[in-house]
Amino acid sequence: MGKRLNWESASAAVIGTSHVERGGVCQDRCSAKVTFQGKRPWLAIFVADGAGSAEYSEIGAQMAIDIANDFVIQLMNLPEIELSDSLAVEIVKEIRTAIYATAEETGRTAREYACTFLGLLSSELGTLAFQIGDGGIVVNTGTGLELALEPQNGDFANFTFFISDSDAVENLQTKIYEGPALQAAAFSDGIQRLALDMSAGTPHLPFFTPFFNVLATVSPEARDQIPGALSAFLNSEKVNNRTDDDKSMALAVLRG
Amino acid sequence: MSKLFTSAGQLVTIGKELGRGGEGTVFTLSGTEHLVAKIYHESLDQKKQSKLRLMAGNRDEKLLSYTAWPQDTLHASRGGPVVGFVMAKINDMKPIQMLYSPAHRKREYSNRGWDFLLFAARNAAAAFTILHERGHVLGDVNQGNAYVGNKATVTLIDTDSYQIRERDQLHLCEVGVSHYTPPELQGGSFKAPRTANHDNFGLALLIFHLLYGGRHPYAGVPQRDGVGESLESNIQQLRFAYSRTAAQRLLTPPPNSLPLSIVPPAIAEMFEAAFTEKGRDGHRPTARQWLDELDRTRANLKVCPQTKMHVYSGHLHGCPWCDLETQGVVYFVSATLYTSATATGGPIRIADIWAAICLVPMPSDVKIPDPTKKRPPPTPLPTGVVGDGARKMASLVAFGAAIAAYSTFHGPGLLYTIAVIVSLVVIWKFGAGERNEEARSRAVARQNAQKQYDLAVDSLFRDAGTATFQNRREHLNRLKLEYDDLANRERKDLDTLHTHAEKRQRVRFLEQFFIDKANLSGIGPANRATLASFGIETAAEVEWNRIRRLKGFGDVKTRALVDWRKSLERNFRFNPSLSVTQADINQVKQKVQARAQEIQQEMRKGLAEIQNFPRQQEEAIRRHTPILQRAADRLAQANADWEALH
Repeated sequence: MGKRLNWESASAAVIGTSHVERGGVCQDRCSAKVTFQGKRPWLAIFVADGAGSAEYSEIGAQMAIDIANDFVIQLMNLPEIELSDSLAVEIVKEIRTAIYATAEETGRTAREYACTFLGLLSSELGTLAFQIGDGGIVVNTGTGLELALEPQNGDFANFTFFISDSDAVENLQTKIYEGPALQAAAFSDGIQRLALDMSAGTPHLPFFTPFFNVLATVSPEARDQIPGALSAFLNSEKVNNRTDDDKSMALAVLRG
Repeated sequence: MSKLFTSAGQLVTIGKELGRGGEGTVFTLSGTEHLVAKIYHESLDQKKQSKLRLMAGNRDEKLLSYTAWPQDTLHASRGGPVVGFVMAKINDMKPIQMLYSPAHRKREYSNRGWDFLLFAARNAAAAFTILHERGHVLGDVNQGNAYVGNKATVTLIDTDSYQIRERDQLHLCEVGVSHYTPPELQGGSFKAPRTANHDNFGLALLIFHLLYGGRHPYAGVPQRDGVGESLESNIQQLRFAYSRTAAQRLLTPPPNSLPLSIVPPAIAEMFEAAFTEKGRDGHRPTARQWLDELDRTRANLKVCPQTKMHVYSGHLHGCPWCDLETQGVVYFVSATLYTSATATGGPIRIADIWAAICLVPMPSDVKIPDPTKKRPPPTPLPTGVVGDGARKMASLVAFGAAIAAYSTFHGPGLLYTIAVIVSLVVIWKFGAGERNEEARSRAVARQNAQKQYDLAVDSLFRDAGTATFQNRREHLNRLKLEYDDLANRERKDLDTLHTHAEKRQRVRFLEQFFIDKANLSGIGPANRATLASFGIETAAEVEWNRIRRLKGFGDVKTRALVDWRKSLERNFRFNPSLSVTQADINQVKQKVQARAQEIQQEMRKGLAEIQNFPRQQEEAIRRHTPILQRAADRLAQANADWEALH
């Protein structure tokens, strides 16, 4: 593929109304970035949703996003990158190592840093989606926008898997696509019901289409306004009427 | 650097690289297959150069047969500084833990029993004996510097780090491995002079590893908080988990470990000395003592009748490996199928045994002396005690006298009636206390006699009754039915193989990944030794709860291990076509055959017992009859005595 891939991306995380009422902090974190392995661009999208029941989960979520992005930067130094299940495992292990070490240093338990973790890596070589816990990743690699992995909502209400769980490596789900992501988004549990048709297990297209359209056509001058607009949307009454949880979304569109 | 010179100035050519270590690299030497060259990465100081020259000069036949001793020094130029040395190539040898680790042994030495381990232990002792006799000390004893050949020969490597004596001067060994370091050196510097007694700690440890399934003597279950934080602290505090006094040392053996008693008492005593106060104070068993005592043990071994893979010390009464297998721990895999012919000298048909059992006639029942048949006269009453008969008689006399008096003298009837009542009260009150006392004591005597008699009857029946014969026959009948059903059981067990196939295949997959070879950051060699001591050697045994409860394994280390296992496990794919292997089938068949063998033996024993029953019965009757007769007589007497007062 001679042509260089060029993604337009954005991300935002907004505190939920129930957390505002309780004077809490937003426990969601997310990022969407493009980095280069030599001349080859890579898209990296990460979302982490800190567990409401865990005291330091926003720190855990921030750690997860930071470590994952650091890992991608290191990855870019390699001559070859294989998009594989074990690459996702490596990223997850890296985050877990950091969480467990921090917990030990501070005399806490890893559980106190509990968060979900969703990731998407894409280049001309293909696309890797991976996920522990709830929330969702939608991606279009040429066959239409689809839900990459089943959100792990668990058997009970308010139960999901976290990256800090002892068996997280087992709970990790991965999926590999051959082509680069034309459109991709990852979002936390807070907007899951708006973004997905849960019964059919498919993305709710009218929800995503406006975002992708805006990103696909944004002018360089208007680019800076995108995150603000995304935040405003996530904080809009329309969204808040449907959920009182923290909301985060990171998304990207291939512009050619 | 492909051309070098020997100490004599002879040109040698360095071949391909065999291995790279911290200090130097080992190369082949062209023109020889038996020798290799170790070339140091950096130039050596004068001291090290002279140490190597000295070692090469002092080599002898025995040193060369037990160690990779320097045979000649190597130089970049003729007569120039020493840059390396020549030593024997260790052909076809494996690191000693490939032998003592049960998980590795399953793969590398699958057909070797405990006798082989014992031989390797003996040869390790021999190697140390050779060194110590020459005043040398290995110093840095650890599992990495002993290699084992396929005939259990032992070669010690890394000789250039040994402590070498040169007249009054010592060339020190300046390295060590903490969980092989004796208590008296724990926490100190490795640059101090070492003694043979220090070496003997490491030797005892290697021997312990070999004989006790790779377990570390100081890895165990702490009996109090704050105890056993690390292997090193346990060594320092002499917490020998297998000791007789382990409870006082606050550390007990890990689950499913072998007891110290699988070795003869003399060897057990040597371990006690090596790992506790006596050893620390300078009196560990010497390499020569180990050599001699292990040879004695080797001369007195038993082979389990179940499988020739189970070899054990002759001082034991039962096979320890079979016992362990009933707990689900397999130390020695029985590769060869057991056949009944090998142990009994020929196949026996169980139907024949059963037919013979059926031919033995039912014995006639034993005769029991009846205590009610005899009626001995009661023992006379003591003076002052009047029997009930006498009282009745006296009452009648009083009554008769009153009637006679009335018919003779006449008068008011009421007067006579009162006189009769008064005499009756007097008669029945007379001596009532003494009488009741006697009646009570006779009742007790009767009860006791009955008990004695019942006991005597029971024991006769137990030894000679037909019920015993019947029970035995029934038991044998059940065994025969079980035997007839073994084919069914085998079929059922083989079916279960399919149901559990995935789990088994998963375990087998994970068993390929050894903790001691895994790249696990933060899990040091002492941690790995602890894991091995708790039977955790491969990814298959790694489970959160199993590891987290071990001392020294917090969330961080436990996570590293569990993540390692889980990430390996992600690559496991169940292969239905391989769901049941020949080894699985063999294992089931072998279990069934072992049971068949047990039943055969038990039935042959049972047949002999049943055939012998009439004789046994006769003998029992002879033995029991006098006792029983005495008990019956005593009971008859006690009954008569009792009746006299009731």
